[in-house]
Amino acid sequence: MAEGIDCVDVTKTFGPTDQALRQVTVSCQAGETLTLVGPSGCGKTTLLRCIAGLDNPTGGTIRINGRDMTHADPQRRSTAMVFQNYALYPAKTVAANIEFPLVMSKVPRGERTGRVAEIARLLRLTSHLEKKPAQLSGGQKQRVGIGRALIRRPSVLLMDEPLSNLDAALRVDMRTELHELFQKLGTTVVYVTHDQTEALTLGDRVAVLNEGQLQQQATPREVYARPANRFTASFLGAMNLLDGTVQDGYFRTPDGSPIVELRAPKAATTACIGIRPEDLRAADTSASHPHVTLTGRVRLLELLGSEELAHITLASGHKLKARLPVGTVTSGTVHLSVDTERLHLFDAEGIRIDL
Amino acid sequence: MTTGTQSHHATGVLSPGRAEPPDASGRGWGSVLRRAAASDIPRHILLALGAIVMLAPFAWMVFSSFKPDDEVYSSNLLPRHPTFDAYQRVFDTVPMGRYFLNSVAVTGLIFLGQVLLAVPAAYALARMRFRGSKLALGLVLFATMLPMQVVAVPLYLLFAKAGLLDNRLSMISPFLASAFGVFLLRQFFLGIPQNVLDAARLDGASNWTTVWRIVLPMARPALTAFAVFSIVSHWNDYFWPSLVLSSDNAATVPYGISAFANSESNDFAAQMAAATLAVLPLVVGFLLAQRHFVRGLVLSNTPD
Repeated sequence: MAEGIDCVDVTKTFGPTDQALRQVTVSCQAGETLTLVGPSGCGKTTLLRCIAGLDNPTGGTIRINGRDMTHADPQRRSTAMVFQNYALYPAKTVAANIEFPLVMSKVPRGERTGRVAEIARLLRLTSHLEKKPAQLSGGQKQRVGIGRALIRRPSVLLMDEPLSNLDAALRVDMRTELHELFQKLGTTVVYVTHDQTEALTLGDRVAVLNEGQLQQQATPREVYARPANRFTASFLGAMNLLDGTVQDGYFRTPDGSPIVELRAPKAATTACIGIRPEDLRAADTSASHPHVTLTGRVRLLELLGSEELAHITLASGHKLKARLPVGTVTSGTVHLSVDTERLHLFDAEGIRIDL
Repeated sequence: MTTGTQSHHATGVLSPGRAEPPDASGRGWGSVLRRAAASDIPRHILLALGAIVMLAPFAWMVFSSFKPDDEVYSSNLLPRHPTFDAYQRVFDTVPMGRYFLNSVAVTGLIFLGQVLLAVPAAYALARMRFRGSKLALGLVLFATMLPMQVVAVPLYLLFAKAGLLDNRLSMISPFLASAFGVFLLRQFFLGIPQNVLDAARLDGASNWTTVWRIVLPMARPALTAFAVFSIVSHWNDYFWPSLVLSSDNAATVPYGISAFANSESNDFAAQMAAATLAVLPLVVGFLLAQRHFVRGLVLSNTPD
């Protein structure tokens, strides 16, 4: 029996025209954290709601721990969910909020109290148990939401952008806290986010969605190093994408002037080349790796702290961004180079071409 | 305090959690009220005049009820020798205790029944999709526009034919289904975040459990407002009791004291005492529930 979650060809339509999910196939093994990432409206929350049983898929199959749960009642799925805006019961105390799922499944009072105390210790809520949600900070509210989800000891924890209502500093702390919690619990987690950092740091694997379609599912390292298509490349890591053509072993601008010489020549085609901002560096003629050099003009320099983000317009008219150590470039003309093996090439449909 | 709050939300739509603090830049109610106090003096004078006009007969009633016989028709507002004699005569002449018990039973049972029926109906109309839900809502709205007087005669005939006149059942049952209550609560339920209801569903709560254990505790402001409307109108109701009652057995306070006023038409002080007794519970109840009541109407809510 396969543990974890298998979604096969899951389709969800709202009304005749709105296709929220188009044949999405993703899987998450037991004990693994899968992050679903994509821009708003990409269908990631819909997929999560289908897994939770709050929405019914129009087509496809959802298996949880090997059993077909596509249309099963939410309570039978041994899943629990944490909501973006906490969704706590405002009239109940923290303790009563956490306890509620146990009351519903008729767990005896003595055992309930013990389990609430245990969860409260785990989530550092012990001193807040008698408060009402309105008296808590955002981070505490979300810990209550997590506590209410964990109390039934679900085999799958579903999280819908649990950090996006928190302010930036708290979000970073909570992210670390969640990461430690996931490791401690060993529960299967499906984590929806629009934040690429959360997706990459928390996920054992990442599934990228756009317009209801799965773009790529792979480990964070793989998704980042070898994005399967243009969308994934630009969404995770804000890759520079330059449109042009491939001809005679060169990647060329649309009007045909060569920009980059490719390692492995391809047949002539329109294409798109991708360069991560952090892979660009000041041109260095003595570099040992095969590399290409680009020449352009600095439009704008943004200080990020330890680095600067340089907005550059190439002679060909293409625009790109480069993350460079502070002081590497000043205004005016710059020469930047990038290792050839760091280049990404996408065909006319936006699909990755291995160089 | 209440004036300031109310004036700000006079046009507010009934829904929880929507009302914003008056000033997004962080200035709270305090400064708004101070500003109002400074610039709105003419308005407050006008409102005070209105209040005097409204309260004067009420004060006159209360003061007269404490006057001895020889002072009742004097022009003093305040009694020179205050006395409880008039109250004594009321209790001696009519079973005031029974009227009160009847009134408490009738208004209490009406309100209880209205809540039991209106809460599930309002939840269904607000949050569930079913065939005919729009029609049902339309009918509820239509029913809110029908005054009691329109349906009184057919209802009376119904009760008369069934032999149910002149008892508590005939006093209570016509009011158990409150279209106004359904509509008021529906508007409130519309504002409850969907996620909270989803969470309840995932936690294993049925619709029925969700309504009573999750939604109802959240609706306290709206319920309090509805309680005041319902209890005041049925406590004071004279029209329907006067149709169905013919004896003292099931008489409520207004019906009882009107019978008293007819029989003791010369004893003005006693009539005023009976009237004071009739409104006393409402005034006390309103003062106790005032904070909730205003909140229910204003429909501000604690930030979530």
